[in-house]
Amino acid sequence: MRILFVDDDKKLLRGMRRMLMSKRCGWEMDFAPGGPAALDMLAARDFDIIIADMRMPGMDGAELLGIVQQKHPGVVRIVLSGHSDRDYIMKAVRPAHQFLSKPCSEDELIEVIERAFSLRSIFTDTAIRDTVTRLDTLPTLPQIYNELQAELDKEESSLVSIGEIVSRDVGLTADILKLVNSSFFGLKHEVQTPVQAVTYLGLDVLRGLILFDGLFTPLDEVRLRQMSFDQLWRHSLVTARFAKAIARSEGNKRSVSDQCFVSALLHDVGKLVLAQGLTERYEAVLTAAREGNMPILEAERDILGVSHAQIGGYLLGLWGFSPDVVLSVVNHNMPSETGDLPPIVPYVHAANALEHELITINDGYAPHPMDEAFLATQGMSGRTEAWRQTCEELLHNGEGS
Amino acid sequence: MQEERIDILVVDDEETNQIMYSRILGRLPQVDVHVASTGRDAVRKVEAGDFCLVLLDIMMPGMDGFETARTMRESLGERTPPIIFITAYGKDERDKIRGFEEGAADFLFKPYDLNLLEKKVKVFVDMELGKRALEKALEWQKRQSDKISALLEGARDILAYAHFPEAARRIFNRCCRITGATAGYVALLSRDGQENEVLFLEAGGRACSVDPELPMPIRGLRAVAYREKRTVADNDFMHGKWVRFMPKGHVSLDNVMFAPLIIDDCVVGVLGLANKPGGFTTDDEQVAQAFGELAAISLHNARTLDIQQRTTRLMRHGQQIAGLGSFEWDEHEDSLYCSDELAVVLGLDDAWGGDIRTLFLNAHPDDRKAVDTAFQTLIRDGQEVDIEFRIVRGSDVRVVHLQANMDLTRAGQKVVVGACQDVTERREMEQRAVITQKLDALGQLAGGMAHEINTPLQYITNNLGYIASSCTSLHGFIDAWEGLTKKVTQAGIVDEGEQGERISCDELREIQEGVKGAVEDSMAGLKKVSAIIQSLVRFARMVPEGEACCNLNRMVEDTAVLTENHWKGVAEMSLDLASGLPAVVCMPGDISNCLLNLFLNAAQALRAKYGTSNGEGRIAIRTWEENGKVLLTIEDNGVGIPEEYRDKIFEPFFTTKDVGEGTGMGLAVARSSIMAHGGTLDFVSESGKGTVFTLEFPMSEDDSPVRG
Repeated sequence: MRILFVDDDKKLLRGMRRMLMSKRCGWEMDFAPGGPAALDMLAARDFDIIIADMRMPGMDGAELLGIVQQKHPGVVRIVLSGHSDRDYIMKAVRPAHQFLSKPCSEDELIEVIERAFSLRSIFTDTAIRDTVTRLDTLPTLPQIYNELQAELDKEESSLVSIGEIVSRDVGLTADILKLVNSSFFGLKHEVQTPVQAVTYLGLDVLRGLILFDGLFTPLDEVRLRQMSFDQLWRHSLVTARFAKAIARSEGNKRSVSDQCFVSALLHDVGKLVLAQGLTERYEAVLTAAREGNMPILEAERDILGVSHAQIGGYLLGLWGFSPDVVLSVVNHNMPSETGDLPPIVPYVHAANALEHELITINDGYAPHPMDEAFLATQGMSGRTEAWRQTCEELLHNGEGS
Repeated sequence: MQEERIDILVVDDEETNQIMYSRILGRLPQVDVHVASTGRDAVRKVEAGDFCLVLLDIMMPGMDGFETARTMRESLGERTPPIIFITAYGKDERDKIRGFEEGAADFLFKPYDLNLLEKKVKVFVDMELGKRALEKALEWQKRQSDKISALLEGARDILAYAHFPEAARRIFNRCCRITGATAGYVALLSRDGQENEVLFLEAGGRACSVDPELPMPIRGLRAVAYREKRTVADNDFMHGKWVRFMPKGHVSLDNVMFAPLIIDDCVVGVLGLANKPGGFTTDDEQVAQAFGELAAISLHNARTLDIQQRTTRLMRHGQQIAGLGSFEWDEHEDSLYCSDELAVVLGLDDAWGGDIRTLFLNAHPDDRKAVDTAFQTLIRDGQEVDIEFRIVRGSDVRVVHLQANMDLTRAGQKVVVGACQDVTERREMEQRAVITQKLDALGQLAGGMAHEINTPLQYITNNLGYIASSCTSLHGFIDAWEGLTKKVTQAGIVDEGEQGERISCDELREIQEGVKGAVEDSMAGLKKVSAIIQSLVRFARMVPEGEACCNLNRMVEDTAVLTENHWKGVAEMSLDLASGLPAVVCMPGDISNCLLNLFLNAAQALRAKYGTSNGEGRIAIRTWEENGKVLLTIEDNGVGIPEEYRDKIFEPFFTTKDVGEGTGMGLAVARSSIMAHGGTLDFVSESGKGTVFTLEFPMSEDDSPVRG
C-alpha cells in the first residue's frame, strides 16, 4: 500500500513520518509539501491513498483532490485538516472520501486507512476499481429530488419531512450519511439514520448543500434500458422496511433496527454504481443473467469479476460507513460463504430474500433464496416463517410500498 | 303661457240685444262672450262648456228664463254657473223673488244702464279670476308641500339606508311619485368614465328586451346631463334627434329626463326618468335635480362610509399584527378613546372601565412607578413619554414600549395621544442577534485559531508518540546493554570503576521512565488543549438560527470545559451523563447559551457561599431519559436564589448584574425557545442550600423515522 501525505508544514510531514514509523514495513509513505509537488509524484508512480491538508498556499486541498479525482481516479482521497470553517469543509465534501480533523491520533488514522483499503482487493479489474473510487456522489431519483427541493423552498420547511424524503432515496441517504460521518461534525457513527443526519445538519446547511452547492444530482434515467431505477428504489425501500421490521420483531433496540434500515436501503447501491458508471458492461451482465437464468451475482462475477454487493460495500467503506453496514451490504446475498459477520446481517439478508419472494420484481432472474444454513449458524433457524408473516403484515397494512 | 280666459254666455232671443251684449262685454279683458238664442240652446252650451257667468233673459219664447235656469241646475247642480236674470224694469217685484228662488245671482233691468251692466259683469269676472287664482295658489302650495315632504323622506332614506342601491331605489321611487314618471333607472359612471352602469331599471310595465349587460356609452341626451351638470328633459323623444342612439328592444320613450348625480363637482351618475303622461315640466326638472342631489349625497355617504369602514378594518388588522394599541385622552373631558388592540397589549380585560388612571394597571410592580411618573410628567409639563416597561398578563410577562405626547385640540384643550406596542419578540430577536454576533466573532476567531493550533498539535502528538515508542524500544537495548556490561565486567575486560563514570543502566531506566511520564503528561495536556479548541469551535458554530438536533451531553461537556476557570477552585464538578441519550430538537445556540449562563450562575452562587478555597462547593450535572422525555439537571449547593428574585429570573430584563454587564434576557430567551419546542425550563431553590435547574425536552415522538 502506497500513501501520499500532503501538507505545507514540513514539521507536520516529519511528524507523520515518525508516527507511522512502526508501519514502515507494510506501508510505503511519501510526503509532498504542496499540491503541485503531490501531482508530480502521482504522475511518476502509482499511489493507493492520498491524505491532504485543506488550507495550503497556492492549491488548496479541495482543488488538489478534485484534480486527483479526475487524473488518478483510483486513488483514495482523504482530507486531514485543522480547519473548522464550514465553508471549507463544504468545498471538500465532494472530492474527498473522508474528512479527518487535526489532531488525529495514530490509532484513528491507521484505522481509517486500513478500513478504506480493506476491500480494495476485491477488484481484479482496475478499470472497475477506478470507476467506483472516482465517484463522489450518488444520483437521486428525480421525483424525490424535486420533492426535496420543494420542501426546502418552503418558508417553514420541516426537518422531519426532509429526513423522511431523504430516507426514501438510496443516493441521498448514502450522500447525507457520508457527509455527516465526516469528522468535521464530530459525530462518527453516532448518526445512523437519514432523519438523524438531517436534523443534525440543520436547515441552513441542508439548503446550502442542496440548493447552492449542488451536492446532489438527479439521476439520468435513460441510461440503462434493462434496469428500472424505479424498481430498484422500490426494492431497496421495501427491503429496508422489511429489515427494520424483522429486527424489531426480534426484540432489538432501536439503534439496531435503524442500522438494519440503512444497510438494507443501501444493500444494492453497487447496482446503482454499476448502472451509472459502467453502463455498457452492466448491460451485458443483465443480458447474461436473463438469458442464462442465473443469479445476477453470478453473472457479475463471471463478467466483471466482482459483484454489486462487493462494490457497494467497497464504496460505503470508502465513504466512512461503519463496518457493520459495510459488511451487511457485502454479504447481503450469500452470507454463509464468509466467516464472522455483524449481527444485523441475518436481518438484511432475510429482508432482501423476502422482498424478492413476496414482490418478485425481476421475473426474468433466478430467485434469491433464503440462506437457511447461515441463519442456523446465527442461531436463527426456524425464524423465517415468522419473519415472512411480519413482512406480509407490513405489506398488507400498506407500509411496504 | 296662454292668458287665462273667462267664458260668459248671453241668452237672448233678440239679435240686436245679442250684438249689444257682445260688444259691451267683449271690451272686458280676458272675457269671451258666447251667445245662445233659446233656453234649450243655452242649457246645451252650459253643459258642454265651462262658463263662469250666464246672462239670462227671462222673457223668451218657448222655454223662459226661469225654466232654463231650473233645467241648468237640474243638469249641473253645484257646477251651475252664476246666473244674472235680465228683465224689464219696474216689472213685478215677484219676478225678482222668483228669480232668486231659481238661483239668480243678480238682476238687470231693461232698459239697460250699460255702465251698470258692465260693472255688474265685471264683479263676476273679477270674482272668478280671484277664485281661480286662489285655487291655483292652493294647488301650488299643495305641490310644494308634497315636494318638500318627498325630499324630506328622501333625505331620511339616505340616513336609513347606508347601502347605496337600496337608498337609490327608494329615492328613485319617491321621485317617480312626485314627478309622475312611470319608468327610469339609476346608473353610475363606470370606473373608466366611459360608460353608464345601470344599478337598477324600472320599465314601468312596458316591454324591454335590451340585454342589461350591453355597454351603455355616455352619449345622446344623457351626455348633455353629464357634460353640463344639469337636468335635461325631452318631451318628444321618439321624434327627437337622440332617438337614433336607442338600442333595439328598448322601452318606448314618450319623454325622458336625466338628472345628474354630482359629487365634488363631478357627475358620477344619472337618475333617469321617463314616460310621464303629459310630459315633464320645468317644475319636474327642478324636482329631479333635487332628487339627483339626494342620490348623490347618498352615494357619497355610502362611499365615505365604505372608506371609513375599510380604514377602521385596516387599522385594526394592522394594530393586531403589530401588537400595537393607541389611545387619546382628553384631559378636560376626562374621556379616553382607545383602539381595541390597546387592551390586548396592556393585558386589560372587560372589567377595565376605560379609565386613564387604571390604564397601566397591569404594569409590572417594579415598573409601575416609572410609568406613572413619566405619565404624570407628561400631563404636568408636556414632556414626551418614551419608555419600555413590563406588563404582566397572567403568567406571561411582556415587554411594552409606550410613546405618548401632549397635543392641543382646536378648542385649545390638552389631549394626550399615545401608543403602546408589544416588543417582546423584537427584544428577544435583538438579544438573539447580539448572541449571534458574539458567537460569529468567536467562531471566526476560533476557526482561524484552530487551524493554527491544530497543525502543531498534530505533529506534537505525532512526535510525542514517536518519542514514547522509541523509548519503549530502548527498553530491550538497555537490558541487552546491562547483560553485556555485566559479562564484560565479569570477564575483567573493563573495570567497574571505569564504567561507573558513565551512565549506569539504572539511570538509563530512570531516564526512560522519566521520558515516558513526561510524554504521558504532555499527551494529557495536549488532549486538554485540543478539547478546549474543539469545544470553543463547536460552541461558536451553534449560531442560534434554525432548529437542529442537540447532543445535550456534548453541550454539557463543552460548556464545562469552557467555563472551567470560573468554577475551578470554587467547586467540584461532577458529570453524570447517560450514555446513548437521544438527541433533542431545539435551537442549539439558545441551549448552549442557557447552559453557559447556568454554569456561571452556579459558580457565582458557590463563590458567594464558600469563597474560593473551601472544598465543599459542588456542581452536579446529570442527564437521563425518562418517560419519553430527556432531562438535564444542574445542581449546586450554593447560596440559592434569593426569594424575592425567584419569580423574576425568567422575566425579560431581569438581571442582578450591574447595568451594561448583563442584558437580563439570557434565561428569558432560553425558556421561550425551549417552550417553543415543547420542553420546560424550571428550578427549585432553597436559600442557603442551593439550586437545581431542570431542563426537560420531549423526545422526538417519531418512533419510526420512515413513513410513506
